[in-house]
Amino acid sequence: MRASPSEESHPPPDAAPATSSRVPPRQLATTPVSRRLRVFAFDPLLGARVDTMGVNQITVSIPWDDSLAPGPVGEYLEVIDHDPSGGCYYAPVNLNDANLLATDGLAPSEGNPGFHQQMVYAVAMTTIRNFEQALGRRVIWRPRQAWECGRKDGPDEYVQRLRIYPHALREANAYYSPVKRALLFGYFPASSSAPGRNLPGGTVFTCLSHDIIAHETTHALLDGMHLRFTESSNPDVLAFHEAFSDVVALMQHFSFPAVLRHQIALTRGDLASQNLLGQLAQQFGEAVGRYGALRDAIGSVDPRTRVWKPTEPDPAAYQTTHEPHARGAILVAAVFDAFLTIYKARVADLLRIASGGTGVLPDGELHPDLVSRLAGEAAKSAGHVLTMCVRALDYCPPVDLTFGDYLRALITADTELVGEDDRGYRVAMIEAFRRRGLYPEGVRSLAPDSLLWRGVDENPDSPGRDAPFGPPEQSPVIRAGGWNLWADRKRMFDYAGKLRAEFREWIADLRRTGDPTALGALLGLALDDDAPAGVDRDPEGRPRFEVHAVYPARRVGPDGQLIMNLVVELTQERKGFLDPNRQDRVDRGLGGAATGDFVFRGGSTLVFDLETAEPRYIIRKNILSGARLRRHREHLANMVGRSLWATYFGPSNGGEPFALTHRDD
Amino acid sequence: MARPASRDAPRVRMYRHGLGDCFLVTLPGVSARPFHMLIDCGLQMGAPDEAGTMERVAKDIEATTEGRLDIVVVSHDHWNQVSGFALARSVFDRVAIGEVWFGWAEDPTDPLAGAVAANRGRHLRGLRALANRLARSSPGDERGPALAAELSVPLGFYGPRDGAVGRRAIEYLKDHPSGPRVRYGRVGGSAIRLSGSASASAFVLAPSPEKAPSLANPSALLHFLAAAGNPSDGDDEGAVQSDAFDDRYRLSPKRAERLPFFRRRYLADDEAWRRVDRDWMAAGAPLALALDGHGDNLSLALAIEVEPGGAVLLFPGAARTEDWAGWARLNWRRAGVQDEATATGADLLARTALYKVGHHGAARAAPGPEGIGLMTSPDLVAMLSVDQEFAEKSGWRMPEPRLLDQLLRVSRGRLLRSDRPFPERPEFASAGEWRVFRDAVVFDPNGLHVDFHLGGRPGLAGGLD
Repeated sequence: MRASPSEESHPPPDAAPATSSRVPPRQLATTPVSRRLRVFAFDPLLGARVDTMGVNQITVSIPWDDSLAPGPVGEYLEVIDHDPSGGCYYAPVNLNDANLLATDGLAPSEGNPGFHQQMVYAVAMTTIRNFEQALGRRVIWRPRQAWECGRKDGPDEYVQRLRIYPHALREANAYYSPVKRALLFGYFPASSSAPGRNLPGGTVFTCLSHDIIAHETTHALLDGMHLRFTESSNPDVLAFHEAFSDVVALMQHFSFPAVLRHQIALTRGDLASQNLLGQLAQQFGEAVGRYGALRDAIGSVDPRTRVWKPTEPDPAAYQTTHEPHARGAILVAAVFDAFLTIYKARVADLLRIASGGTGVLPDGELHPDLVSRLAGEAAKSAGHVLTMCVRALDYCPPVDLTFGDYLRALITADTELVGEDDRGYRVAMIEAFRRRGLYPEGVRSLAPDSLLWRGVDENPDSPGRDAPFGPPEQSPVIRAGGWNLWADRKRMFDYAGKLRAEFREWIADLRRTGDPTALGALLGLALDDDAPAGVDRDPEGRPRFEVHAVYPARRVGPDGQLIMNLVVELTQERKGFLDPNRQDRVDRGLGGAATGDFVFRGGSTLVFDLETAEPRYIIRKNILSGARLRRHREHLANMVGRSLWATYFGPSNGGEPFALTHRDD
Repeated sequence: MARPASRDAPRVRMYRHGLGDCFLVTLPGVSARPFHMLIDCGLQMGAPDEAGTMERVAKDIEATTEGRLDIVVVSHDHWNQVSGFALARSVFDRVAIGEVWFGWAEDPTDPLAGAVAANRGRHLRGLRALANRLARSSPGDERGPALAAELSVPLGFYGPRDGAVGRRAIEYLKDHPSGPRVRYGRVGGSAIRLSGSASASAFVLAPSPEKAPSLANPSALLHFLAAAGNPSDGDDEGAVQSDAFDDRYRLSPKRAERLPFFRRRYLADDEAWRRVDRDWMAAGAPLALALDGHGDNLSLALAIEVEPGGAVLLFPGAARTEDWAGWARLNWRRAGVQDEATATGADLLARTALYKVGHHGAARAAPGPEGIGLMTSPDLVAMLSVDQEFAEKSGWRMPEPRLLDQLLRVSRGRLLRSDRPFPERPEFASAGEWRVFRDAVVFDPNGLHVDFHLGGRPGLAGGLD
């Protein structure tokens, strides 16, 4: 049995409370647990079509925020409705207005900017809540480094709120800006000549698409968790950012039973058919073609027979597709594939019952009870897959992620929590990845056991297998258990900073007192004096490393088991050169260079048991790996696109790495 | 003189004037005079001494052709294809022109062409307004001038005054004093016998009006530009609903300033790093480039066959990689010669002996593996008109290095670049093969042009078999 994030918000007992203020005692009316807000289920124009009428509004429940002010401005988000291309502003909506509280917010309306503000807030908060429930801790946005604040040195600056601009752009686009820690949404006219179902000349707002809001919010969440996942060191990195954001949007969408009920009735339980998928970001897609790659990756209409059929996964596609959205679509298709497998397994008994064992459902409409049950199972499956995918983030290497790494992270994260894979979730994932040629490197087989990350004692190269990290009592891991108490995200952020410094000291100590070469090999770092000269050095001439992140991973398993892990990420910098000969010379100290052609990074993610300080997993990306360095080099050489933009402006993408549609296509 | 000039082997002259195109094709004529075809004559705006250079080029054309051009071809309306006809107009006034060829989109009688042109005009004016607005810097925003600089690139393609001068040059050719016949080429139809030449024909590979830049969603660009400060010219087609919401919701900046909410969270100084006043404008340059990219679809691409079954000279205009696959499947009727034999694109490409590299070697005009695979003649020579140094100064990738590799391989090293001297013999080419090539190439001692003689230099024993 698995717990699932439901529409009602019931945070697990150990998670931080949803509010940031203390609840006064002896209050007659207690603070609500959640706030209900209405949003569009699909893009607005669907409401104009008869067969979807009645489906296009759902009510989401998000955690109650005592501090919520007009904007809306809350603990995590601030919505600022400035329309620069329109030369105006729109008044901030006050969701605490008594009238709005009574009616679950404003009624969905394309013409009222207040509703747009409400919707972006609600969907972004839903996404945040799903993340926090899966991760077992509160989320932090990308902090501002000293140089960004105009200071030469100093600690990172906490960014409390992600900013959302619902009407910032005047084009068919939306993006998360890492620089501004903001989501920018665009609006544009539906095409006059090929409007699809849009009103010719009517306005399409990307901020009214659940999927686009969830997608962009996920970029921001992922960016806050893994700061280096924006550094494109191999073709999978940026593709992963896109794919993961799509997966979250998709699975979150499917986790609303109300939405599914209608589709399941229409498709008679067959979620693989076109209708359901065709709804995704449909308005935006029709006006602009955004989800084309994803839709094609999952299935398409056969031009001859005009029947939709699922796409046969093609392992070769992964080898030849490099553009981030298209490449990411392969990963999304894999996860969606796994979701379908899981769903089908879950409803097999229902269909057996309903068909009397024949496997063929009776003609005509499905019984509404059956539809409800199917919808419930689909929503649960989607919730589980979403949780699996988010949890896996804690088991990823700090840099240079590949799809294969992510598969291993998925399996490891799930195994940690759910010992027996009786529902076959892990097998479904592995199989879906395998069919698309997404293999991890360096594993002997695709059996779930082989895919687990390795800890210390299984590593043949690990030196001093017994307690390479020293006696547990002296490990800072033990002392890091005080995480629970901080309800306040800022204090959590500060505490994490302190922990990072502690861990830094600890590793430096281990280096000093032990064998730096062996320690480095264990951690994927170069710590001894023989390190290549291109590795960044500290003022004393020793190879520099950073404790990139420290955070708890605390989960409750379906059988009540408590997983308490501490995740520590270590990274190191090294100068990379496009010319291998130059690289060699610099690394041997034969040629000075102030900077390299690119920054090459390595390191590892360590997962410790919070109570015993035992290192459970070490996920390495070795700084000394020649193969990785070569791959990074090749990737940079190949990255030069054939686009118009690349010819005149080089291989950047118009400045924003997370735009929904790249402007240079 | 060994032989009458008109029976000289065909020759292609690439002018070495800078980042621009100017090619003079000389073929045996029906009479004693050789046949001359000028394909494009322009130089990138901002090149040193534009006017002087183009005048020298024009005068050389005048002298070489003895004041008569049988055909002038304008592949597309970028300034660096047409500037010579503006800057050296006085020279061209003295030259008699038999025919002038343009792509279909220049045809004033075609309504679709007219719509495309009108849109283009609107877009350019709007983008110029946006560039002006961006260039006026606002405090605390460093992006404005950078964005304006970005926009100046696609705007610059059309030359001074956002294309007005280039436009006039094109009109000048249409109304040239010598009264040339004007043709608007489009794909399909029959082979065109080149009148004045002994046996040559031309086949139009592009443009194909069906692929005309879709007028679908010009509304997006107009919508964008409506906010940029240059509303459409008042005609209904261009009128665009530019406001997102009803007036009653709009708060003017003045009113917003008085609200503590915006004052504190958006307008405060320490919030400046998160403002998005100009972010929307960054879409301008990509939109402009995309617009220009659509223009590539309108360019005139020609395959010139020296004689039936003989060598082919390929001038692809601004065609893009994805177009080549379609060319293989094209066919044309051939009237007169050998009953109604048809010629196919695949066959023409297989006989291509001279390939003029498109778009100065930019990535998007690369033939791609398909195209490369179709040019199978062992005699293939490539000519690339580019000025890499000048391009690099502007930050442009021309020629694209990987395309260069492809070209060198498919031509077996026989790649003539206008910004380089005669190339070094590559290892895989034999000395004999290379000598034959060397003998067929003549560099002007003044550095103004380089000639490639198909079939070897006249008057020399031997030559390419």
